Amino acid sequence: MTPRRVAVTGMGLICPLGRDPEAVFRDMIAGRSGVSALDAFDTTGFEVKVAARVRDFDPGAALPGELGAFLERGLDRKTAFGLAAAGDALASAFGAAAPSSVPPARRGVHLATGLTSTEVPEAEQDFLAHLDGRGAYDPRSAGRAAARNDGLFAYRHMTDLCAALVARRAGAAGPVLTNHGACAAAAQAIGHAFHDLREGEIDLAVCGGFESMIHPFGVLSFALLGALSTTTDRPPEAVSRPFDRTRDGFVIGEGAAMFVLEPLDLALARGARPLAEIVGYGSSLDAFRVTAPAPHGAGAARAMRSALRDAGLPPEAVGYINAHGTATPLNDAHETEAIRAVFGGPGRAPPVSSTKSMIGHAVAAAGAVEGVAVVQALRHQVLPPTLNLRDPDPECDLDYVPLVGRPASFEYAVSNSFGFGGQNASLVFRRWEGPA
Amino acid sequence: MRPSRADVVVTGIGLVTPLGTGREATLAGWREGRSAVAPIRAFDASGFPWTHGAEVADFEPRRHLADRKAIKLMSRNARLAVHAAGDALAQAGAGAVGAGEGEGCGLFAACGYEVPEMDDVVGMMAGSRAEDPAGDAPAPGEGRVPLSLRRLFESGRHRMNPIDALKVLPNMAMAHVAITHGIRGVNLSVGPWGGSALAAVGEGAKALLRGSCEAALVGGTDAQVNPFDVSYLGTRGLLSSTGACRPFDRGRDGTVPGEGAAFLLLEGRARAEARGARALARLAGWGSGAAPGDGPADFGAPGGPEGYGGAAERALHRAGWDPGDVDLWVADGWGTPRGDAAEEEAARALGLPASAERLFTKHRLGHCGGAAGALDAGLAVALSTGRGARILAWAGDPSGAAAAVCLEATP
Repeated sequence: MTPRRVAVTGMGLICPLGRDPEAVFRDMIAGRSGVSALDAFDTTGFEVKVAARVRDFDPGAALPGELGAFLERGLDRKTAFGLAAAGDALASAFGAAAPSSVPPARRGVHLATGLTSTEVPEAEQDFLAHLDGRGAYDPRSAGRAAARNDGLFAYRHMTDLCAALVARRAGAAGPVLTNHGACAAAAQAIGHAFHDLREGEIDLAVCGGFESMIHPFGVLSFALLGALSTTTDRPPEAVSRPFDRTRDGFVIGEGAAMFVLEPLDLALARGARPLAEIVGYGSSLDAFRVTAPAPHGAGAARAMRSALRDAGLPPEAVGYINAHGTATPLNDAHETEAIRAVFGGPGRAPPVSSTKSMIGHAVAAAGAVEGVAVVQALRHQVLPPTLNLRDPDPECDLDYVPLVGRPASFEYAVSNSFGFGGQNASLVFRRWEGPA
Repeated sequence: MRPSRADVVVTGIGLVTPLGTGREATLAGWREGRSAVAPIRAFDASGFPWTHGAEVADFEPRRHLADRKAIKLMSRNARLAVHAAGDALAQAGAGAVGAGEGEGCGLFAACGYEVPEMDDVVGMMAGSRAEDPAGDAPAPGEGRVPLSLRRLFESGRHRMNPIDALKVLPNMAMAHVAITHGIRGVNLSVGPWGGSALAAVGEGAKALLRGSCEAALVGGTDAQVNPFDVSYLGTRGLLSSTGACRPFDRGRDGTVPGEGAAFLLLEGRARAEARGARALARLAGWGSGAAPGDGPADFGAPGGPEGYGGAAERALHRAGWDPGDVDLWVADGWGTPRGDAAEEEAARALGLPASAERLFTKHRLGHCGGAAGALDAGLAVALSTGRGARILAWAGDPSGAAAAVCLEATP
């Protein structure tokens, strides 16, 4: 069949700057930061002191009543984020109405998330019960703990629970998938949903990512990998500084973002108002090392080229790139090199910015949360800035929209997400030109 | 060289299963009628209500993985995956990954969580327990043992290798397959659920038809015979307490945990012919479905009848087959009371013919998690090549998601 155009008709966002995509974007273009002191747990003796945490979020209120107390007790933080964002996205696309004109088998759910939950109370309950009297690991203790099962162990560690619940809420009986592509995961979920819609597999998709790793095990793991900023001589909101000469790692974030996607013709026929179009998706593998990105950003460049080819666009059509821009020394240098290879050097490449400077790195949800920023940038024709970029790195010589947002006139934007292990993904969004 | 819808073929099958490391060893074990289900040897399971599993007993990393230096970077499911991927690529022959730097080869896989090294993780946490002021440590397994975060950070710094932090990332098996075999194209690492490996097959097929890649390595890997996964599956009520998986039997009471990896190499027929590679089967159709269930804590039977049935309807429709065309039905056969009943119901509603042979594996191979669907489908093709069978394979998960494929084995 002829490829169909794909419209974004709904968005839901839970991020450190808030839950309302309009207000969050206003904060972004004003250069406000959602990074603050890491107070989720006691960090005495630990070198990481900041995080971009979602505040004022009540998981209980995020849940639909029909889930009941059982799941409410077992639900972990990231799954609650995901459900809340999906609910907001469906409400923004359909209001109170259900998407009843689309048969259930033609509705899909493509989500992305990271590891199973290791929040502290759960870790205590689920793992420390596995010790013998001397504190050594004893599988027999693990067995006895499982035999005494409180019914919640599995739900705490069920990373496909969110997709199953979102599918139920959206009435989806088509493809329901959750992927684990590390930091590229949410972009991959959106990309696969986009392809399924474009190619006529389905007529409605809920897609995006949800993540929360601001717990001791998550922060410790990234710290051991040397990926996190250990800056303490700046205020928290000034720590995340992508493309800056002094950058020293990322600030861990959390949250969720979900999109409702529909074929443009069906969306317009039902009177929906498109927020943007998605026109391209591409991915690649570094196949280099598990510990470092490929030299010269070769994998990242392949992902961007693959997305542009998929969109049928020349590089010069792109007016903005939302960078992966983690603020690790390697990522930002490699990503810059990759953008130069695909789009040309300074003066030829479009403006690039990293919204991680304000909301941190939402890990598996990053591509979705940043996708919302891209859609808002297209709608408002304003580029969100790279906060804290005051001392440009000579190796990073592109236009990174430092400090505050900038009005621009542009039709296409690329969003990059690159994962540990060398999984890379790029999405191409298009401004919706019709009546808004 | 974008294939048309009718032209996606399988030219390589790679299997690492509890019946043996490698496709040939697995086929030999299957033909001998062996079962790999046995009391768990990987750890002391005597405290568990579920004591049996199906382990890959003959897998030796230093023998089966060429790059010995990489072994320490890999958890078990990555090791199994790297070997199974190599098995598939070897059968597919020279040029399977393609010219250039492998950017024309896609990789779509369901990858298990990398949680088996519980000794390390829990050992680190054990060193992080708060001192009990009264001096008597809580009895094992009795309630919560408070963590001291200060000790956790200290202990983590000293006891945890950064490599271990990487190993637990859920896409690492895919990263190692890509690195070992030089695959650099489009990709997706799906979560490790019952239907995920078959969903990955469908994603690979779509990427081929779109022209996003010229070949796609598709499948899955999982190593579930460890205390964490056994706890997970057991507390979900999916494991047999008698230690015997009895699919479709009146006395069935659950499945047993297994481990393994399975990959298929997909490409267009013209590319295969140009390389001189033999088409083992044609991938005629694929599809996904879901049965969302309705109770608060109820995620249905594995797949649910609507999940299996919906996935199969889509796959059959794409293949242009009537249900009556199916010669071989590769059933999921978890051996759980509700799951198997849901499959029977879906098969009846669909109108699968009584004459169709039914193949299922979990009574002998256990449930190999993320690998399961691709493992069953790969085994079915390997057993049917030369017979010309029309195969419908499906697999599903208690969350309600299911996937199906139609494969026409080469006569």
